[in-house]
Formats: sequence, C-alpha cells, structure tokens
Amino acid sequence: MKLTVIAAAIAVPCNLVFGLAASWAIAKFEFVGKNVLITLIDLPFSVSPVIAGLIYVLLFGAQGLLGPWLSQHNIQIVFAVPGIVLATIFVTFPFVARELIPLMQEQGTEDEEAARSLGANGWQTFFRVTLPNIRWALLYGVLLCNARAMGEFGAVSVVSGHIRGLTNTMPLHVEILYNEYNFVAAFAVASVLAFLALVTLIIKSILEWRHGGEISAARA
Amino acid sequence: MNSLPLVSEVSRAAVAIPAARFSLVKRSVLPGFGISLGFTLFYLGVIVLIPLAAMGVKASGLSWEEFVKATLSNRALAAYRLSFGAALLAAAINAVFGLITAWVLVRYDFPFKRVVDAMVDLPFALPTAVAGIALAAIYAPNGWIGQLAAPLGWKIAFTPWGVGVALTFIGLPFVVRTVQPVLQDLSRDVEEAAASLGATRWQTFRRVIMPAIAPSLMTGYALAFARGLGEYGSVIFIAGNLPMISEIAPLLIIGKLEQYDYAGAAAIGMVMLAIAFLILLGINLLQRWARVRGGEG
Repeated sequence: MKLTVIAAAIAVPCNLVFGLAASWAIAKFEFVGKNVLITLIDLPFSVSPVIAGLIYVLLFGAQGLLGPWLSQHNIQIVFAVPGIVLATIFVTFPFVARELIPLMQEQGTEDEEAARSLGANGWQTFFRVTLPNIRWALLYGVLLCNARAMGEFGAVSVVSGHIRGLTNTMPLHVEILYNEYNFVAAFAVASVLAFLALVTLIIKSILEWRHGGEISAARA
Repeated sequence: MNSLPLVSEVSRAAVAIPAARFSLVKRSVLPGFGISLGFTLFYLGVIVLIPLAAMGVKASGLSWEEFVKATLSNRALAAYRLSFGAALLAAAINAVFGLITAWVLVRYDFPFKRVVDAMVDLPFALPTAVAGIALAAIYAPNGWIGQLAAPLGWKIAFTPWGVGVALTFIGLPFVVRTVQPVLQDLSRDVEEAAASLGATRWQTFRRVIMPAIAPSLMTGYALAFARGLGEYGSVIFIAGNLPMISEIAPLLIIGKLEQYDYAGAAAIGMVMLAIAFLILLGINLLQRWARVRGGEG
C-alpha cells in the first residue's frame, strides 16, 4: 500500500520536471530533429507495459547487463522498490510533456520575449510568465500521470518479483487476493482503486469545465 | 532594442553557430535551451533508450536459429495470432461504437451529458487490474452477463472472447477522444449545404462527414489497436491463459521470464516492440497525410 504512494510520489515529480524541460525545449526553440524527439517521448505510450518491466529486468536483473556490477556493490534494483519506481516512471513518462507541448507551441514565445526585453531573467520569465500560462494544463497532465502511476499493473508486476509485504503495490495486491480466491478482499481493494480513479475523473472534468480553453490545445 | 546583452545570454549551442541559416538551432532570445534540451535527452536516454537498447543487446545474444525458435514457436505464433486478432477486432468494434458515442456527445444535448462524457474516460483512468477482475466477474458463466450467454452455449470469460471483451473495454476512450474534437470543429453548414443540394442523410454522412473525420478515426483505431496489443493487466484475469488458446503475447514474455529464459523474453519483446514502432510510424504518417488534406480542403 505504502509502496503505491511512494512510487507515485517519486515518479510524478520526476516526470513533471522532465515534462517542463522537454516542452520548454521543444515549444520555445527551433532545432533539427524535433519530430524525432517528440516521437521518442511518445514511445512509452505504445510500448506494452510488460515490455516496460522487461527492459529493466534485462538491464538491472541478476542476469542483466549491469547485474554483476550491481550485485558486487550490493545494490538491488529489480525485485525491489527502485525497480518499481523506475517502471512507474517509464509508463507515465509522456503524460505531462504531451499535455504541455501542444499548448506551449500554440502560445508561442512572444510573452517570454517581452518579459526578457523588460529585464526579467530566465527563472523570473519562467515562473512569472510561462508557468501561469500553462498551470491548468500542467495540473491536468500531473493528474493523468498520477492516476496511471497509482494504477499501473503490468510493468510493476514484472519488476516486483511478487514479494509480499515488500514489493507489493495496491494493483498487485488485488491480483494476489484474487488468485487466492479471496474475492471479497480483492474487490474491496479494487473498490478503493476504483474510487481513486473516480476522484481523478471528477477533478479532471472540473478542470476541463472551468479551464477548458487553457487546456484545450492539449486535447486536439 | 538592447538586444546585445540578451544575445550574450542565449544558450551556448545557439551562439556557437551564429549563421542561423545553417545552424542546427535557430537563434532565440529566450534562455535555457541548452539545459532543458540536455536534461530532456539525458532523462529520455536513462529511462527509455538505454533500457530499450539493453533488450536489443540481450536479444542479439541469441543465434539466428535460437531467435527464430523463440519468436516463431507454435505457442508464440498462437499468442501473436490471438493478440493481433483480438486487438484488431476490439479496435474495429471501438471504431464503430466510439464514432457513435462521439457523435452523440457532440451533436445532441441530453441530461447528464457531462457525466456520460466523463464516463468515457473511465477505462483509461481505472487501474487495469481493477477492470480485469470486474470484467472477469461479470462475464464469468455465473456472472451478470455471463449467465445470459451461458445457456446459448457461449462462454465469454476464460476464452479468446474474453480477451476481445477486455480489449474493447480498454480501447474505447482512444477512439472517442480522437474523433470528438474533429467532429466538434466540423461546421454544420456543409451538411446543410449537402442536404439542400438533395443528398440523403446517408450520402451526406458518406461523402461529407466521413472524409473529414476519417484521419482521426484511423488514428483512434491505431491507438486503440496499439494499446490492445500490449495490454496485460485487464486481460489476464478474464482470458484463462491457456497456452495455444487464450494466451496473449505479453503473458508469453512473463512466462519466459519466470523460467529465467531472459534472452527468449527479450526476443519476443523485440518482435512486439518492432510492431508497436511500425504502428507509431503509421500514426505519424496518417497525421501528416491528414494535415496535408486539411490544408488543401
């Protein structure tokens, strides 16, 4: 249970920072290879979650490429918390960036250029001009990112190793209970997750309703 | 304008090559290009590209015969067939009903429309494991819907049909959400013009509406298909997971992993990844094609 929150609490801020950096670079500047970069950012969306888990097992697992080095230094990534966090980051990778890139591209660079010419430094420009412009879309992206991070099953299932009490997130717990024919408990945990999803949907609908114009570019 | 001090602060990448026309980066007065792109590429590399490359390295450790044996065994072929067949079928069902759903949501006003609109996203927001056990419970022979089909001799859960049901559930939001904005932008004037020129409703739909929404419909179809191909959480509970019959390709990877056949798992992973990448490429080409058509029209 706690692990679900930990994984989301690490994965969401990581992808938030990444989303901001990526959309700043992509939306505010012109450079060669931009479309390739956007495609690569979208890649985790079309990769099966099972493969997302698999690649970390292959990289960090005991038989993996970095496995011998990691075990020498006594670092456990796969079948432990870091692996779950990494897998969660992977599957929620594009969410924030995808919401922000179209919106920031539409908004252009004039506001920021004006701020700069009035003497604001880079961070001032970002926090006083850019961030207020994109805050609702940012919140929207974070919301979706968080929902997926809390609910991810396939990728986490592969890297978790199913160690009860240690590497057990809520969706994995549902599976364990279900396979033990403990249906009542399984559906109880599932209901908690479904309730979280419902809350997410309600906040999302309110955001769309109140600030539709400011996030609409991201929905096209 | 005092542009000189600004230019001096522009990221080094931009300044290093002042001839803007030939440089890789267009000059800009905004700061932070170097650091933001650098961080983006670093993060992308660490989280996505290096691990994916690791899978390629692992799979290339196999000889060609071993690779073929791992990826083209009868069991693997049966799994691909099921994964592809179910994903294609589910995406096709979603294309039809997703289009109808989007149409209703855009064109008509009815009570609780906002609630229905929000509900469309439920399969997307619901954790897949939750969707999986709920669908399995409902479509099982003693479940609410399963017991209606059971007397007809039709088992849904724990057969390939169950896979189709789960993938249909998962894919619906993708079609609706890609078609909806395009339908919204479609002006009703053209339809009225078509009607006033004597077109029947069906002709209007086929000749006027369909060409406008076809690209987005195909994009939605491809997205739903790609998602269905890789889907794991919601499927395993309802599929029954019998080898050769109701075993999906992602489950095959997990099976290989549990037998410590890492290279075999990597090989099947590579095949699925290659397919996913081709689909993504197809989506991008479709979108470009749609943009060109939209620009002309």
